[in-house]
Amino acid sequence: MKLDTEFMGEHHTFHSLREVMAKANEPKSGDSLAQIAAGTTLERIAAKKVLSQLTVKDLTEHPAVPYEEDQVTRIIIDDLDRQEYEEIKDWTIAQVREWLLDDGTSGEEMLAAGRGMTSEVIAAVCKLMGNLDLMYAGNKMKILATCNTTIGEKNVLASRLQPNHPVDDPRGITASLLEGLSYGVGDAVLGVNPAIDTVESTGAVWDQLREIKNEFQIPTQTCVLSHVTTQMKALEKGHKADLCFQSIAGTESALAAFGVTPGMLTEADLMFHEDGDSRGPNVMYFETGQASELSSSCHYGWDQLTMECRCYGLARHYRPFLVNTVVGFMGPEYLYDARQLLRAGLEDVFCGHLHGLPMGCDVCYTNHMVTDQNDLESLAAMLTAAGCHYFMGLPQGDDIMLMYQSSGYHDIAALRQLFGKHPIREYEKWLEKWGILENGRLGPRAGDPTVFLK
Amino acid sequence: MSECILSAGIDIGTTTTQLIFSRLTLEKTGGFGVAPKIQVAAREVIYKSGIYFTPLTASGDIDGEKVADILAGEYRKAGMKPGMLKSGAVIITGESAKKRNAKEVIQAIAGLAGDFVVAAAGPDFESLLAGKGSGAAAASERGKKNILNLDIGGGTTNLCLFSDGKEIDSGCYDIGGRAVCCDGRHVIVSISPKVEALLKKRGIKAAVGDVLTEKLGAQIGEELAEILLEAANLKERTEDAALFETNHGLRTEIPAAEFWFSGGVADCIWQKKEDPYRYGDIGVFLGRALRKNRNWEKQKRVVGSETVRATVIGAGSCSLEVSGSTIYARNAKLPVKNLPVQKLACVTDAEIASMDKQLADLKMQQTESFEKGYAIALAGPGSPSFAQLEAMADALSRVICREKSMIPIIIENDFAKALGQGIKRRLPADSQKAVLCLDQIVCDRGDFIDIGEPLGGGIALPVIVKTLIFQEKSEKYLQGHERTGKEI
Amino acid sequence: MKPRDYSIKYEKPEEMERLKKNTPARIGIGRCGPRYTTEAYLDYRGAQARANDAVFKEVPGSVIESLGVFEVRTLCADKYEMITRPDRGRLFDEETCQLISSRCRHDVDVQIYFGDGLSSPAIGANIPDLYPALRAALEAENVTVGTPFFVRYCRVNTARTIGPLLNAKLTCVLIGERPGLITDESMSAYMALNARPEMQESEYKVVSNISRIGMPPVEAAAYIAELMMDMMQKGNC
Repeated sequence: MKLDTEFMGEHHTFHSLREVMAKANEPKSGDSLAQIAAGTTLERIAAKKVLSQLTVKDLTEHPAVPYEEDQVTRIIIDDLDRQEYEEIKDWTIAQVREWLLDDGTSGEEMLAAGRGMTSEVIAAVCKLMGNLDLMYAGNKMKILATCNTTIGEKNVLASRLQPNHPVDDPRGITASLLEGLSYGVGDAVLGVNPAIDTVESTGAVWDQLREIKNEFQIPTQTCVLSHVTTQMKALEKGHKADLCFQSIAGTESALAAFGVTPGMLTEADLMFHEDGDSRGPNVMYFETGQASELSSSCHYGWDQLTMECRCYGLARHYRPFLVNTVVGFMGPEYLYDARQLLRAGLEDVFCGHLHGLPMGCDVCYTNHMVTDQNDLESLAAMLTAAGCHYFMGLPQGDDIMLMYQSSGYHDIAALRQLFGKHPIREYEKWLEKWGILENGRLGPRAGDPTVFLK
Repeated sequence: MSECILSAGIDIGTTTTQLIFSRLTLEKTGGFGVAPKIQVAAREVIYKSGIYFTPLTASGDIDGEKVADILAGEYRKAGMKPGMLKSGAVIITGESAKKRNAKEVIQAIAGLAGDFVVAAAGPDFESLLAGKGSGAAAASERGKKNILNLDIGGGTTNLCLFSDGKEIDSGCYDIGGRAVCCDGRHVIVSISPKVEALLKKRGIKAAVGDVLTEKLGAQIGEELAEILLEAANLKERTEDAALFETNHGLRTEIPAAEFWFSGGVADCIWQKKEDPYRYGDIGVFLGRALRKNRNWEKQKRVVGSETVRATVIGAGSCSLEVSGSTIYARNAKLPVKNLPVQKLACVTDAEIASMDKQLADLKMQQTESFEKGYAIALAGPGSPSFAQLEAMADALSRVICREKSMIPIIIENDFAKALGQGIKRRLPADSQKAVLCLDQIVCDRGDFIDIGEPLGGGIALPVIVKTLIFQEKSEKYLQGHERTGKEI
Repeated sequence: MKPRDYSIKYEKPEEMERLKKNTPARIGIGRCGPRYTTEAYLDYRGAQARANDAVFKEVPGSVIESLGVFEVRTLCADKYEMITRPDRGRLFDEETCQLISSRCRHDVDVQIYFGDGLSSPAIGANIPDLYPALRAALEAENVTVGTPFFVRYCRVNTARTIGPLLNAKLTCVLIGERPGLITDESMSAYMALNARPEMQESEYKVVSNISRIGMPPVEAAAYIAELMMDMMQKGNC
């Protein structure tokens, strides 16, 4: 591997692939905190230059964590489509980038090639892309997944209804949920983050969501985002939900910090196939977010984008129905301001798509970042253009349980109308039946949750 | 983590006696940085006895010994031993005339009641339990609406009005299925004096020895349904209704959106083809009248999810609450039972400064309820300042020093541990005085309270609040509504 | 042309009132097209601004004065540095260490100090009730309590420096929490027995959500005091 370059009249030498990858990353406060970021802007671009000349093979044969040491690496390498890999292994990362952007390359071809790329390869290509590149290339790929309904059809922008409540009060959850339905939100999933991670509480919220889904015959999925082991126990107790959730990370040790092993996810996937409430075949729901590996000191000195990509490499093993990056949740130590937030959101969705995942994004920030709602709205609009599968919908974007800011019910409606996007087809019909949606716009009963009450 | 406690409900009615056992699952929750909290996660009835006619003595009193035999048999069948029970309630319900010997009855069954099984009731508490057991209270909380529960048993009709799940008014009337009884040939064998008086006034001829024809039964049923209309504030209340009051009717005219029915007669409301003489009384006729009466017909009526067992389930399953989980208990001997509640106002600084005087005034007014010990209830500020806390602790430590018995302090807001520590600091270092403060329990003047042994390793306490008078609760509701009214 | 009223005419207005009562979430806020009405929009921006400001504004010197404590700061130059550099937000320069050492009582059972953390308003809102209640509760149990002080640009991990510096058995920092839109005044208590630079994160005991709308400061004080007694007893045997 050639790790040095003459660039803009300067000589730049790097000592490892890890250093090249870290320094080629766009600025992130997390990489600075980890003391691996480029020292100057020119050094960053020089690292990109070096990276552009490395081959797919170089990246594949030097994974972030060795094959022998890490189960996530083993899953990524073992899942690789060898035939696809053979086709591209000698390409430089620069050539991969250009081929992805070529109008002659179809989305199907991109996805097929993606199956031959490890997460490190995908992270490398991403580092050579500008924001518009990420949007342009990402939008070409059409990725379908099916649980009760199918997500990912052309011109569909779906949404997760997130009716959280500080103490999981069922009436509080219902109030936000009905309001969300009345804005056309909830076609991806009705998904509650629980304040209380117990089997009883998860079972109770599952039952409540299922009851509402059945009562109004809503064509969608249900999920409670408690720990995977909690959900498995709730399933054993006879409660039912459609999707099984877990937060994941990009190394075996970072996963362990979440109390999760890959085997546990396999077991959960099987259990939900057998005893869950949905037809499937895709029954898993994962959340990720740059820097969870760094925050648990399980990043092996690698940059947060590469680590994030490895989450997607792990995720695709389970053929999930939904994956979303909770892009701004980790805080300013990792993504400082709007510029970093926007970049990370675009990277995550593009990388997830190239992994063949139906990517959504929780466009969000915490109140101690240098961001505000305008930044969030900008990112949501950019990601809609980039073919993002779904966003979160919360009452005015305020999460009263997790105490962070995300996208609102109104934002989902506005993005759909602005970009000519629709909810998932069955759900759209259901909305039309209720008078919530009319000719692709909010209808006469939109915004009135009392239409669902007797 | 969760723990289960077993609870008994025993209802000795003037007509029937029944018992249930239920399992209450207490769940301890708490996340990172949050004080653990104990909540009742599930209330599950695990055993229902048969429904027995209550054995009476020759003089018409309840036969305590025979009741005890029935209950002992049911305990055996259920495999239950008194020591296994941690909570519950025994209540003697129905016509007051037959409850003269309630104390003896309770004594006769004392051996069967567990440590925490309590025995005390009055028509108002029965009304509350029936409304909780029927599901009306929960429906009112779920739907955020006012629901009036009418529990129509053999001897009485107990009314309880719930708003957002909270009881706000109650009443009781001597109207029940056994008001008129007949034999196998439909000949009237007994008729309650109040019904007799009403029928006489209406010019309806019915006396012991007459045949209860279907027409007569329907007439009597209709008259009683009309009285219940008045009782439920659906018609102007007349002196006829007053005649039937057991102790009192509803005290307010707060409207109800739904009317729920429990008690044995509730089962007769929607059963159209039932033999009207099946129970040998007026019950089926009364049920029919509640279905057909043109004024009742206009109301939204719901038969409770429990009917004849509503009261006993309310007693066994729904009476227990759990305090907040930051409490203070030192040298406290538990359980304590039947303590009358004295309520002090202490939200503003002026109110806090006058706590001593408030208590002295209450003592002047009603010395008798202070004699056998009492509990002090207060709402307190939502988040008291340190100075306010110190002032409350000053006043309450003086009370605790003065009184011989333990004076539990029951706080509506969340500062029991702080207040308890404050009181303790003011007692002499070697004081063996009991200090017990618990919070997040609402009780009012006129309530009685039982406090059980600690739960979850001592972080919370089980509490039963027995509401005997609803006056303060109704006032609170009315004040609250006045306020919202102004805002709009 | 007349201006329009964009509040929603609910089919069942009384039911909407009930729904709103059931959650503090921002529901029932109307719409103009698919966007927020001006009032709802500005309400939100206001609440978010307050939360954001709570992080970035300084605790006024007058608040520290009224608490009657002295002030020090970490290595961070400002809030922005504190937020991105947790490593610097836990350390003090040599001079500051000497100042703390000279002004505080040493070898105490419990050392309590206050930090701005992620919410400046949390200090003025909670400390005046929380600290005296906590101190009274501990002293009633014959626990010695050290000299309190205020740390500007403070991270929780300052405890790793303060504990050994003053040789306290137990170190406790009362620190502002990340604000939300419902309140910007919440505070947490982080406690560690035998705090030291190499300790594990998991060694901290935490009580969070202390505020007049969460766990009242006086009650939190009582709970924290008990936790401390418990930690010290367990630590001794």
